[in-house]
Amino acid sequence: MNSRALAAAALIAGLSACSGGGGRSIPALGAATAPAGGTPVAAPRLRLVGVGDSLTAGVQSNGLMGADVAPNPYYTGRASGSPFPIVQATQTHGFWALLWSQANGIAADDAATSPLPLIAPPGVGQILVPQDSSGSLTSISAACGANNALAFNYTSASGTRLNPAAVPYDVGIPGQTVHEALYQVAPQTSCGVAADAGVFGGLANIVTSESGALYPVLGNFPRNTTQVAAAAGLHGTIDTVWLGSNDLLKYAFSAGALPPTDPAALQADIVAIVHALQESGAKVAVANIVDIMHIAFFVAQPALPAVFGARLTPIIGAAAAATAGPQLAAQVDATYHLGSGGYLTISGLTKILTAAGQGQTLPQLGAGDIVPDALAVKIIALNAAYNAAIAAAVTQTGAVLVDVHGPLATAYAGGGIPVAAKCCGFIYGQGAFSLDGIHPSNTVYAVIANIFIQTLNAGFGTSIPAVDVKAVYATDIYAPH
Amino acid sequence: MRFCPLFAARVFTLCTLVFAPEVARADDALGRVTRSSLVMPANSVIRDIMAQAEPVGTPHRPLRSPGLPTGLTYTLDASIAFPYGQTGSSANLPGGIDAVLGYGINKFHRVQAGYYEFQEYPFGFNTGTVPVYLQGLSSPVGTANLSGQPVDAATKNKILTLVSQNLFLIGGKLPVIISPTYLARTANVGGHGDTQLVEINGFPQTVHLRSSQEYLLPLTVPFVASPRFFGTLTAAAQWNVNLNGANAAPNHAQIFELLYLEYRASRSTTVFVQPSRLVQYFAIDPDPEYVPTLLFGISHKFTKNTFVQMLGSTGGASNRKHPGITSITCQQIAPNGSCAISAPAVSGLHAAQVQIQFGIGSPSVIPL
Repeated sequence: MNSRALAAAALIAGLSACSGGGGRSIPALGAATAPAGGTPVAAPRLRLVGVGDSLTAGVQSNGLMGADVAPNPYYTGRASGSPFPIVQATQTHGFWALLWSQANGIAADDAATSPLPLIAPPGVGQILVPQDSSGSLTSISAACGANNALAFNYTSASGTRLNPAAVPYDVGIPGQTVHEALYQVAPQTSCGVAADAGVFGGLANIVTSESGALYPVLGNFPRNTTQVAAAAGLHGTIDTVWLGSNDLLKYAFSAGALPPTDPAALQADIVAIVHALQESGAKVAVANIVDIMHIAFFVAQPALPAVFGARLTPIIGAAAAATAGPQLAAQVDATYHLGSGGYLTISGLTKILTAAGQGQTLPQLGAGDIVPDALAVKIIALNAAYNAAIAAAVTQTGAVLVDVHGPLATAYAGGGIPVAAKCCGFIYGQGAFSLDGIHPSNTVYAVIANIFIQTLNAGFGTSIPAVDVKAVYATDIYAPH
Repeated sequence: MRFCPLFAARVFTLCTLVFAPEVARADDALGRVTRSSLVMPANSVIRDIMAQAEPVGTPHRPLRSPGLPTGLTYTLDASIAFPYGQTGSSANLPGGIDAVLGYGINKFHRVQAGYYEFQEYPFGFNTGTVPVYLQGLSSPVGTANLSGQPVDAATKNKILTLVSQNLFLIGGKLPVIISPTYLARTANVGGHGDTQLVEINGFPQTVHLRSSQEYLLPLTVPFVASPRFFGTLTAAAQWNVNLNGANAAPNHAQIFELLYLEYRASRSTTVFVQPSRLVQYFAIDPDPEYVPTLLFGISHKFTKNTFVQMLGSTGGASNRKHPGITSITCQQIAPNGSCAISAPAVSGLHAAQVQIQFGIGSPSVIPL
């Protein structure tokens, strides 16, 4: 999924040149491309290859990182400080890392043996952390600082990696759409392009994630290698494909201005991907996509009074918040014309609360902050159409369908995923999601890993042991305890 | 996330898209070269052989033993050209030259080397509105008005031919010319070479837009020969011998067909027309373009060895939907929000032009 900044601090960036590009010799579509440098790690039991977006890559809290940052620079040990003693690695908590570890009996956090393109701290993107006990978020890196300054250039991108000599088996690239997995060969933008810069500034913001992650993930392959070509070049035994979420999110984050992917085109692309992987010798499992509007990043209009009330309670007290919350929600609805089926995003919510806290009037919100109900209806319809297209592509190719959508939709309808008494609700802060409200918590990644494991075992006759979800929950910093 | 003006308007001009001007490619240049290097030599031989086809006013002379001219021959001309039709550009076409050197080994075998320059300005490079994509994304992100900032698509095709001409007499009377040919072509576009980053099948790729190498095996026979009229039919098998870019393998032989008909208004003046279906296969073509082409013109000889010829020509690919640029793909967004690198997708072409040649030798009897 597309990584999004949530706090003002995460949105402000200096401008620096992070060029990519280079030679333009393009391999044929889907042609397996062998690594140009490095060596794939051993896969003692099952050679898995991961094709996908940020969910396969293991993004959390708006960034991708392969090792912990300890201590969290905002952790003071006092009650008023950040509640996170460390800034936790994200990649090793992703579902694909868990899947690999369960299948091969090897932990994914050892740079010498990890199948992941482990990104050195402070990661790529801008990983969010609570900077104090109020929950206000900040990032541990600047948009164009540290690894982000290296990530957009093919030559320097290996400097972002903890294991630059290891050819990863997880080639999921955060931010990529289905089509991009087949066709993206270079960063489409550099870091820090202002959203209002020139003609393409807004578009640059929508493709920043995949532009910054492409070379760190595919840096072991020749220039102009696509994700699918790289995956085919790894000749996996079983390849997992989980794409499509960004086709919805880019449509939502552009407020519907970026034309949505046609479901028929998405199906054709999924078929092309599966065929390319099958031709490389792999069995292929394709996952469908969750209901995007159910993720915590989108706050439904009917829930706004309660959400505002809860957010205001620590500041003005429960009694006042009980009155102010509904008032603020009504004002927001009237100002931004959300409609009863509309959504306010966590980004928009943060901007509103920040303005309110400073005694200001409601701020100007734009694409990525709100989803009016007319747009939400279209997104929900597309969501269903994409899942139908994925199912059709699976049938067409003889792949196996991993139904992630079904169990999570059921859990959503039931109020959450029943892992523990306090976990895991779909509302922001209830444990299903990390701090960006988009990417899962450790616990839900483990739940998703088990959905994959169950499907692979049933579909391909493997005997991969399930992840102990409760054990993951026990150490999940994103889940309430 | 701020709302992008691009998305609000979905329309912008080409001024934000920076791409090199070398964007044109073929239309009927091959037809003119074919006429000059393959058809006209064959025609001249056939005409010469068929005594009744002497130009008007030519003293009747006894039939002689038919054969190709022997010894060394040459032709040299210089030309100016003008585009016509809605090119959307006021750019002038460059001048050109043709040079041909031949040597007849005997009356049945002859070799010839020719260098030809043909100028054209194709349609669809400076007119119309096309979708704009961002590399990797499936849906267009806007549109571009190609007239917003015209590119210079003025094209000078440069074509080299090496021909072996072989005369056969069917029944001792009917002349047939078979001319195995190697043809190599390239071009200057907008005053530069023809190297261009283009979008092919969703990927950016740098190709030589108007370069190709081919083998041809033409066969030419007469179908009319009288004091006023003379005509021939030519058919040729044609192979692209240098697959590259989007060219698909296997590379099947193609057939091009050509009819030539001339009317001799006087001893020194000839009017001619030449419809044909050419086959062109450039780096951006996954399969050959079929180009119905019409050439027409008039030639006048001032003296035995000097001439002027006006040649009109028009042609466009029949198996391509839109001529010229069909879309533009931004490859990378610059820090200032403009497009740093962009690549057009180019489809089949259509062009029309008039060429005026001044030369020594003969426009219709290039020495064999």
